[in-house]
Amino acid sequence: MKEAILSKGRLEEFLGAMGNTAAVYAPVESGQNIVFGAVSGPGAASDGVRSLRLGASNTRLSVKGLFFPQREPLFSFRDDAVKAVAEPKAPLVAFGVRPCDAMALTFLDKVFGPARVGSLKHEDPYYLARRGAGTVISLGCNKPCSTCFCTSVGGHPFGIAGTDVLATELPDGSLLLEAVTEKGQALLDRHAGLFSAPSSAQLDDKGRISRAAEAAVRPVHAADAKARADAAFDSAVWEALTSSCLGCGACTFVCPTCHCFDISDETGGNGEGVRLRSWDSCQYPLFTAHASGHNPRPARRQRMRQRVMHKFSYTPETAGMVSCMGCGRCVAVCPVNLDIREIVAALGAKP
Amino acid sequence: MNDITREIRSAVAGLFEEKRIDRFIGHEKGSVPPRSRPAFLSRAEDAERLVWDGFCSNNLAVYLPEIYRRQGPKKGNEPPLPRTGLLLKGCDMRSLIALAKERQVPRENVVVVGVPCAGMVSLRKLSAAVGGEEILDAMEEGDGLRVTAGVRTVTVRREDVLEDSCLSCRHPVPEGADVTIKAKARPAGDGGDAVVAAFAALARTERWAAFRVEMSRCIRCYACRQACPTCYCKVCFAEDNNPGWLGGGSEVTDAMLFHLIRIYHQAGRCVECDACVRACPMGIDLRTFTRKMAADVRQMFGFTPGFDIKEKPPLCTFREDDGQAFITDPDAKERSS
Repeated sequence: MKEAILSKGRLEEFLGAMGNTAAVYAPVESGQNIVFGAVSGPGAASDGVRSLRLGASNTRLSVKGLFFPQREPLFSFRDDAVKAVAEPKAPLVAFGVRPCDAMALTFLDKVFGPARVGSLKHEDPYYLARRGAGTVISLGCNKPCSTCFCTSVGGHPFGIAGTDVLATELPDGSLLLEAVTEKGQALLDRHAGLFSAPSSAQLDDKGRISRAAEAAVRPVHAADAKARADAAFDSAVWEALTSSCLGCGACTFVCPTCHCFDISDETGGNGEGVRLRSWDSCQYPLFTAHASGHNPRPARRQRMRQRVMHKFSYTPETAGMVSCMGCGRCVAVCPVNLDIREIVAALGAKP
Repeated sequence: MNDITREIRSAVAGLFEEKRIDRFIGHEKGSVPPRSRPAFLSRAEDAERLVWDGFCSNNLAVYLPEIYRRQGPKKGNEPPLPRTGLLLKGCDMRSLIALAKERQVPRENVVVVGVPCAGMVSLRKLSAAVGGEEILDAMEEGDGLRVTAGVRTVTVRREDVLEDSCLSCRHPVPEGADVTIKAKARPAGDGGDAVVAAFAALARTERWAAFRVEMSRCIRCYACRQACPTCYCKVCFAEDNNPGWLGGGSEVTDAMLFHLIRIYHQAGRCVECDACVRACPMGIDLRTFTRKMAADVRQMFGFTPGFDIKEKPPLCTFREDDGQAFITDPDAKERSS
């Protein structure tokens, strides 16, 4: 079946059934935040599904951490002997991913995925192993947030890019599941016993919800952002709009597409150690500091410019897409309310 | 527009017209209602952007060390340092004094417009008060706030949604401001003593477990450090890689070590403004720990930072009556705390 209905009372059963073959992650409440946590299968508490918080607007941290963890051992070593860390291949289901986050995965696929540059083949086995073993079930956004702007950057509250199954919450509380990829189709087939066929009224409901959500997303002036950004590299706009930046990395860490990392060795002092990859941020002065002491981006506003330029000017060239998904997380978490929407809209304008 | 906003605008425009300042840092309406945010002004006309409300929580003293940071050794005739006007609440003013004491900011180059503070609204508490619904706007009306959340409009008591640091604030009036705006400050609180006492009453293992749970949420974005006016080291130990004090990533032991060291580096310097707490995207309670340290400094060394520029900070001096039981008899301290 390409489309299926999961009735309201059977969600826990569905999550439990998927947990028999995979670690199932979904939005849960943890501390004061909604984040992705294990709800079923390996790593989940026996009552993990109870902590599910599907109704929340969006998770504080994006789904990227499930495929590109903040801290990842690459290999271990002892003196000169290197021991590979097994590539992560355990099956994983990410459930309740918002379409902006799912679309972000299509960008990360380009960053970490197979690519050829001249005679060199680039691919990141760690990321690709997780992606290959992962299934993404996204949940369309019936109620976009005031900070959302996906429709201005190529997304949609019910977009299907990067997802295997798109779920829509219908007015009767049931979930309409639509297979987007073969992998998604296989998952639906595996659990076919839990579903019923949608009525035409339910399919109509979905169309209506999707159109209403699209209309509710506040547009941002992001058209020609690349041309405007390129022309505004030395503009006073940057100073006017980014002077208040504190230089923390909150925006980059919550971002679903920021992917810069650092590599460091953690050693025990006895010749043993682990080489780690961990998230880094272009907002930190050390990110571009040269060994000579020179730093090409010494000021915070230059580093903020880099973040915006990277998303709106550089990746359209290198990856063929704007790498801001319009999720609005950076807008929401910035301690000084620095707003990428305002910056992008102001590029090319007189400050 | 409220009276305080009006008075601030006129005072700031006056400072520009009298050529007493080159720039002014205050608060303007933000892009995500009901937030306000830092505003950098360079002309008298810009004063019209300034606002004052219960959302002006940013501690603006944080920008000063960067403005006055010396880029290299002094070379003869240098241009004069800029004169910065700054809008400060009681806690922010104490940050300025702490920075001036540590010679990060020449006090004489800063013109302080001080506002007696009635407390700032906690966005997390406000969100909880409306059942987690997205807040679209909030208007202050007397002792209450009219909050638009989703499709509803509800009124909440201001006192119920103030930041914990404001509810317990001991010194809401900025002391030593150059211009003081007429405003009513809230009554002084207990400075968080109750929080510290409750935490100290736990057993040592429970305290450590609580600290670990709290820090397990840390994503190491360093928003706490960057929002803190007295965290101004040019290279933070957390980013030092020779030696590397901390591992990379979000391992909880690294997060715990980072916060332990950051908080201890604030001994005798933290003015308890809670900028770190508000900046944290993960809502980590750093407050209990900063308060405990501030209380220790107060009790052991009789020192409260942020008032007297001349007074020597406790970690830079020694007095015969300084408490030292924590070294000579740590278990006694454990029993008594």
